[in-house]
Amino acid sequence: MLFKDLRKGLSVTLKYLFTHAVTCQYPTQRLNVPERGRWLHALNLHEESQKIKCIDCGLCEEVCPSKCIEIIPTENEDHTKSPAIYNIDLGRCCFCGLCVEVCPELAISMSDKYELAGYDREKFVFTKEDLIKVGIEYNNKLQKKEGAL
Amino acid sequence: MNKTYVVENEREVIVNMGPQHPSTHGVLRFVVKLDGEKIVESDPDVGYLHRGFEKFAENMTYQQFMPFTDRLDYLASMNNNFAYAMAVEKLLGISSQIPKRAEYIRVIMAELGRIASHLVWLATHALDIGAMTVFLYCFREREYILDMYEMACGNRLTYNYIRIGGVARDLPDGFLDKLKEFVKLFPSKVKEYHTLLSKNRIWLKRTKGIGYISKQDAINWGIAGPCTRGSGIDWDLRRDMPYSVYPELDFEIPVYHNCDVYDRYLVRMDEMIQSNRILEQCIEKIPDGPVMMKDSPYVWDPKEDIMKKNYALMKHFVKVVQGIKAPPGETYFGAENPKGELGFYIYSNGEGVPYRMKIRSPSFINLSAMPVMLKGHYIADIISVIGSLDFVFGECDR
Amino acid sequence: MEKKVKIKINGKEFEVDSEKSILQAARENGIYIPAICYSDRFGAIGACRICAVEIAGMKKPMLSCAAKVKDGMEVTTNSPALDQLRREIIYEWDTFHPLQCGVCDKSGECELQNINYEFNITENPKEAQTDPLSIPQGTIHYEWKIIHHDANLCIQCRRCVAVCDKVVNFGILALVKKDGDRKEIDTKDGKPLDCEFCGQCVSVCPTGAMSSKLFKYKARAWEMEKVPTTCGFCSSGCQMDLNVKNNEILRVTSEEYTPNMANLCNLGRFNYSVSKSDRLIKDYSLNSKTLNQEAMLLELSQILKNTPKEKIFGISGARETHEDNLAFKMFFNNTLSNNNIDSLSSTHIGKLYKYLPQSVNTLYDFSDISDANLIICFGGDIANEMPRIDWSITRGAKLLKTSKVISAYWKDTKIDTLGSIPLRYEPGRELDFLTSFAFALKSEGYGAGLDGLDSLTGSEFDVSSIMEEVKKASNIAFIVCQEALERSNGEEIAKAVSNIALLLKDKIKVYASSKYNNAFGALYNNYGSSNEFSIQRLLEFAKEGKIETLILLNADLFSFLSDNEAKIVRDSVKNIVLFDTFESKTSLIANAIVPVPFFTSQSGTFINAEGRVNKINKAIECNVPCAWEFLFKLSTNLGYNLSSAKLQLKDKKITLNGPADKIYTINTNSSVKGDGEFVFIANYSKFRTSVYSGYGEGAKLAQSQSVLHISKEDAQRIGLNDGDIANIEANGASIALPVKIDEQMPKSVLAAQLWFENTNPYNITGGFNNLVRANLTKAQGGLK
Repeated sequence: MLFKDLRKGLSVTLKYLFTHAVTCQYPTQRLNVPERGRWLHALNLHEESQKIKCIDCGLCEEVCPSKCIEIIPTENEDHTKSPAIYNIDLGRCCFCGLCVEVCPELAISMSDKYELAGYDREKFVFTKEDLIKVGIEYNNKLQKKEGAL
Repeated sequence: MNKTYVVENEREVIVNMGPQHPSTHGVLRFVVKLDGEKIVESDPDVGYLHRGFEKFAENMTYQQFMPFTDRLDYLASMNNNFAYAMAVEKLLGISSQIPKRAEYIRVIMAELGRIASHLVWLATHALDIGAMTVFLYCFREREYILDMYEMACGNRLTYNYIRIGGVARDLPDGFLDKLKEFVKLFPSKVKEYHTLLSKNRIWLKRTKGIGYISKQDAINWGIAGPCTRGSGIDWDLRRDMPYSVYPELDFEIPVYHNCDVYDRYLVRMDEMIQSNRILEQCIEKIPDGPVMMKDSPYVWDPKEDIMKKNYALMKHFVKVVQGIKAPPGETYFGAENPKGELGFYIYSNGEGVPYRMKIRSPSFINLSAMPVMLKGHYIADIISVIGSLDFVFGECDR
Repeated sequence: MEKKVKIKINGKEFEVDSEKSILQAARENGIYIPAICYSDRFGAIGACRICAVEIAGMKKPMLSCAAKVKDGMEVTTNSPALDQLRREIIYEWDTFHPLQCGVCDKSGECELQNINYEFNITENPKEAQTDPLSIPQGTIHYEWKIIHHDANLCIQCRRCVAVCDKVVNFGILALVKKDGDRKEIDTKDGKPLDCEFCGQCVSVCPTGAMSSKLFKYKARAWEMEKVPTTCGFCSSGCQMDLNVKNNEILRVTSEEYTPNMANLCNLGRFNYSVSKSDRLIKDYSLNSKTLNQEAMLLELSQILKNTPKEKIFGISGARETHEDNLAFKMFFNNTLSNNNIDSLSSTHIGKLYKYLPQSVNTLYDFSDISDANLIICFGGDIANEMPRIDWSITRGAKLLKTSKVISAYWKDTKIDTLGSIPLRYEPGRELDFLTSFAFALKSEGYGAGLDGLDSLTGSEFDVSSIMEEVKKASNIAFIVCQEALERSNGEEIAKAVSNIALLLKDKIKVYASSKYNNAFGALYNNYGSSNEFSIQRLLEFAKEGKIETLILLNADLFSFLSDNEAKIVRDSVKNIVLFDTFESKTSLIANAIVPVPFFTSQSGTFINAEGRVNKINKAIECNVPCAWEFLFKLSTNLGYNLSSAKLQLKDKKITLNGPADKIYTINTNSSVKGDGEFVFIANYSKFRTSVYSGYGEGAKLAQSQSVLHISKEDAQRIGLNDGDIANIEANGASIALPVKIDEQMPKSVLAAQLWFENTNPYNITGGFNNLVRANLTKAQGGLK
């Protein structure tokens, strides 16, 4: 009677006119990515020698379900192995995190950069140098956070 | 694709609701033969999102296939992970060795997934019928769930969190507190949705009596999940073929008997409340302990072991590259997904990759019953029925 | 038929041969027993002990690899006690095994990884009890060539020692005591590894201790695709798998079920880089101008149309596939309507099979050599010519102990270490041995009733030491080496060999060795059947102006003629058309060059010395069409359509035609060319089957240049030391070679190897001849 159902519904919506907005005003306001966030990959370096941790065991390449990692190994002068070329094609990557899980050297981790849009498909292939840069930035950030705690 | 549709008399018109359509919940092509506005015959045409998952499964190791299961029903990825992990564990014979804490975490994640999936269902169903506000309110609630997921595993839509033998990582600090807050808040929100929709005259006019499928037809066509419970069939795999820790939890199964769209709506609304109830119990009952099986040939070893012990590193290489060697045999496992029964049939011939995997997808089977539900309705009712069946094409086409 | 016995394994009854071991019996019937150090290639070693099984009635577990089956035996392959025993052994292997799985090349196919997974090892009490400082660091041999040894990864199963000793018969590896109670695998004399570099030790090592330096860190084992093919270096025809990634061959492996039992020589296993050598011919060229395929077809058609058909001649190098070889013959016989072709098989096996009667010229499998009671190896160093025959002889004499070996040559060679009966003739006097042997056989009553038997005469050479063995033996393998047939009196040698074969008709199997991989294929296609032209008459025909256009298919003139003779051919012939894969001295002087693919980029067949038709499969892409495709297009341009259906070979094994039974009269007047103090012989190196085989890494590292073998006394007399350069002159020409003192060389004999880039021994011996009398002087100054 007298649109009781409609009045009741309207009262619910009117209530929300006077409450706080729940939306986050991106891009001026950005939410924190939690610590376990799985976004852009980062290649880590050893702390003392600044050499790349990756020894090219080939596991990340083999376990990747999208087959987006390409590695070409090389032998160093001290008979150790490291990657000459380490490419991740982000156009194929599904950000599942299996590569991080199988790495026996903790050489690869996932940082918190999620703004990865671009204009060129070729630019989606991140090379070893790009990934090392991401790693340095992210590890510095983590150390600062740890220092602040 | 090459099927020809024949018009019988001059009044009939064949209309194509093409794969690109805002209301078909994915890429569904629906061909209807209309007499004026009444539907004479209808025919769903699927396959536009086919990605060949079953073929992939023949080349991926069991652990490697987990991210693919995320992408089946992408609105409730945790439930897919759960069903697949349980199917493989049944094949390997280790179902009783999963640590208790891991089982509870899996159930928490699955029930959160059920709520998340039903929220999207309600949002899109209501949106298609015309109630835009409900869409935004449901997505607001879903954000709480997605935030919790992101805390636990790192991603918001495709999680790859549940592993064969347990879960990937333990719950982070603060997860259970957030869950408690959500569980307290949620029932009032569901009440709001009821206020907005359940007695609304437009809603009742658009959903009552529409999409009728009798109890016998529902059984004959093989549909499962909330669609059958709306037709009076009292069947839920969590209670009738129990798995994981569901026997220890106390919950009800809502069943309604009018077999139409409105009843299916009521079933799902009640299911959300019941899932909330399960979550409350899980928070109380969750024990401490490990979250992954230890020292099993079927489980990847933890990182500290791989980095320090040579035998663990050797086994790690064999498990990742050659895959875990399942004993030869076959198995089927069905789990109660928000959309129905998701089943995995796996046939193994002793190698590290399955020989054949068949995925019984609930959406595919539910969708096949649509022509029965649409007999004698108008074209606008297609949208209501699509909403009530709640299918997702990632799952339907695999 | 072997005796069969009944045994019980795990409660089930089986019937097996009485000569088998328990492990072999179990494997035949699908029962799994873990075993690391056993292999069918070299039998049981008993080092790993993980194959132990329990036998009813015996107190201690027995090693199933060594224990033979007995009637009524009851075997249990798994029990808690056996499981504990096996775990103890695995704990021992795992103790301080370096965590190198990430970098070790064996990851993915490592037997230690597999066995750790199989037994689900979750602890290592042995390692917890041992002090890490008490174990010294093992040696890593970075200084060895081609093969890399890391003693820290070794589990001391001694498979490498067994394979080097019992299969390859070189025996350089041994378990050597090092300081501090530690034992390691090392060379017996401690010097850096200097061996045949066959890589059998690498193929057999269960961990990454023995690995290939050429493959180090190139790719992971699971990333590569295996393409089965047949080796294209010599006519052993070993089956191997090319491991390919990204259109590049990264290594070569072989499986144990192949006829060559996973054995490969240095060329087969390590020389694959020749397929991506920068000396591959890539473009068609005419008089140094590059053309495309259509232009080349037009130009060649013009050249051939303008030459009178009887003045077009063709030489096949016996290295191409059967399809190319047959297409070449069809081109000449049908399109050009002449038979002016011959192949390089006519310089050696062609001579033999021309005379060997049909009743004794069957081509047998090499595995029959291992089963023979008596192996007579005549005329060459078979280990340097065809390694696969060398392994078969070793298997028969050393492993199965069924065969006795007679080595008939002018010096001691590798097979003499098997305890052979030596028959030493002077180089050039092969016919002395052969005629004496035939005469002795006739005197013993063999060959009664044969046509021409009375013409057999003997010589002073004494063969009495072997006649007992010959009479006793029921199954004789007679191996004729290429070096003997390549002598200038090779035809007489062939006739003498065929006499011997006919006399021992019912119990002899004749094998001929060839370093040309498809020589038997060329024989099968009837090359050398022309009555007018043969390859030995090439020079004569050229000088008489009978050749206007010469087409060479995979043949290098400088590999069978001297530099001067090749120059004469070049100057007398108007057009030389060369179909070849690699740059060579001939490609520098040819008018028209047509590139053809290497065997790794082509599908087809080779016919090996067993007469088997072996398939090759395309492993890497190359944009050059096969020779037969080009020849067919050329033939169509010349107005004759050839059908490719005729190129197919349906049989798995071929037979050759031969003449009727007849004893030949041998002309023993052998005139050795030249005069000089020394006898110089141009023979073969294990590491070259052709000049282009030296373009690959494996062969180059193993031996980079031809060396002059000289006896110690002669070297001291002339004042030569290892590495000095010596000049050898004969017939008005001279060559310079570095010296290597070889204790097995007889006095006044010199030998150098063919087909190296530093010199061409045919310059002093002349083409179609490999023995000459020469003078030796020390060169002044350094390398020329």
